[in-house]
Amino acid sequence: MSVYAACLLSATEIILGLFFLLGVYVKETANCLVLLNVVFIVTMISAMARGIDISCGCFSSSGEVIGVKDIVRDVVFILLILIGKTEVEFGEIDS
Amino acid sequence: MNGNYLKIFVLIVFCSVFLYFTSYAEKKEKKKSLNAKEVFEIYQKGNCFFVDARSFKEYAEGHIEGAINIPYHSEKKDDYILKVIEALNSADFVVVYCGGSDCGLSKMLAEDLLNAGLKKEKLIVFEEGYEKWKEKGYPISKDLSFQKALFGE
Repeated sequence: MSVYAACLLSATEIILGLFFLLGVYVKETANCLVLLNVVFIVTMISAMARGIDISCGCFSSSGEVIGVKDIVRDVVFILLILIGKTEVEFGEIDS
Repeated sequence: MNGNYLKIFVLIVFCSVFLYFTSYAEKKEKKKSLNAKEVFEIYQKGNCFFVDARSFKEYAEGHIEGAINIPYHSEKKDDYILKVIEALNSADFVVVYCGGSDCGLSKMLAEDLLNAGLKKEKLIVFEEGYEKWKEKGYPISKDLSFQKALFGE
């Protein structure tokens, strides 16, 4: 089951990332990406609050423990997604 | 609008199923895992190594008696593994553990030990972990002398 969960998460990230970059269903993709990042932030805060010693697993396999910088990074991602979405809504980028 | 969400969802499910059936992880042989009683029997027989994958702070607060600490999140993890890999291979069994069943550190460290050359047949992942060991009243210790002798800390 955990292997399927890992596959589901990877597929979600790949599909949403590609769609967003290629400009396919941008508004819907942006909403899903914001939701995904919010889930990541809540999960990290939950893990940190409970003192669970886990690594983010983001971008590298260094095994560094999650911290505030990971949360800040996800908040920045959300802002970038919202900027992209807003630009599409105002017609600056053709979707 | 909702139709687009449905299309994205269907595509994600399709891709995840594809990934699942083609993933390497699914085909990998599972590592041996024993419960606390079985691990204690191995402990009593001797000639085995216990490896604690938790942080040094947690290890110092209490660990399975005779265990060494290779903190999975330490920058020195790979150095520690290199230092002890030969000794680990000389034992009959190497039991890797961490906090408890909700902790994946022992499995990840076990993977690193295998990659460093630990023989698979010697490796045991004690998934119930330190908390279960302590709960059962099996020998624990706060002694750090073995750790200091091995790693010089």
